[in-house]
Amino acid sequence: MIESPYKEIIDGLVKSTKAKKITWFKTSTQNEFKANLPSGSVSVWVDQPEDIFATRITLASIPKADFVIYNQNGDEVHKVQVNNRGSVEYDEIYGLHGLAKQSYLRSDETISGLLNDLGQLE
Amino acid sequence: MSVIEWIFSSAGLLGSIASLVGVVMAYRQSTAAKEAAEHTRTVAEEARRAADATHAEVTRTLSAMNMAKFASIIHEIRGYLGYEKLELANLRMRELKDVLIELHEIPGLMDEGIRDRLSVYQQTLGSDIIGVERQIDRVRRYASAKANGSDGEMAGVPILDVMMIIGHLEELSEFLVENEAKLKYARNS
Repeated sequence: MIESPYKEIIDGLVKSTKAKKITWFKTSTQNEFKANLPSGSVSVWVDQPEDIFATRITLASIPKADFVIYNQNGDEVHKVQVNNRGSVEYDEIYGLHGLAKQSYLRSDETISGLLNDLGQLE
Repeated sequence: MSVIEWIFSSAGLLGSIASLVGVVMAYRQSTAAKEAAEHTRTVAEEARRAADATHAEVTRTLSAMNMAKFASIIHEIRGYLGYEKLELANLRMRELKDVLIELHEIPGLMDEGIRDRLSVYQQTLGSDIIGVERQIDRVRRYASAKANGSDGEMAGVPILDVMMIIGHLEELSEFLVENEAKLKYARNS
């Protein structure tokens, strides 16, 4: 389990993202999302599960997910890095990542909008 | 009037004159002290204004120098990224961020809007640096695995969008060029 206070920060981000109070955007790393807050910023990255290397080689030393906290200058303050996909830490980061991705893609709004569009066409 | 009475009368008169002269002298000394204090205050004020002007000129010159430095560093980073020399790109990106932070910290140099934009560029650069480091780390780990006999033939799976980083650098470069012009205008005005 991710140690305190980083776990609390992740839980707070999950809550705020669900409440649509945080805006996530894409970074230059594939599958990474970042959110800026007044005191600093956070990023969440998960290696793509469809990564062909995951099926060809299993290297325990290769990080599979990370959660990074930056200060106001953009310097890394803390990084939670996970190498094992089956761990509790991975699931915690993966959960936040899924919400951040949904938020960035605006999946809920797009799907409900499409359903609404189709309803009007009938 | 006897001689003694005349002496006493004259002494009184002389005393009065002496008192009057004393009052006049005290007044003049007081006025002179006030003038000296005023003069000292004026000199101090002028010295403070001169120091402020020098400080402003120094900070503007420093910033103008930084702007030139920025352009050079950004050009180098783009080259390193283009040739996939990520370690060198990473070093220069860190240097660029340090200079950006220096610029951001100069007091009274830029308005709040520009400062806010600088903060956003710092944050973006910060995550780009982490991205480059993550990619360097992956390449090293895959190379190590290959050396140890693992199936690492496709070592260094790219997860970094180099074109996006170059796009961020171009945005930053445009922003700095705009503000360099403003700084030059400020220096000449």
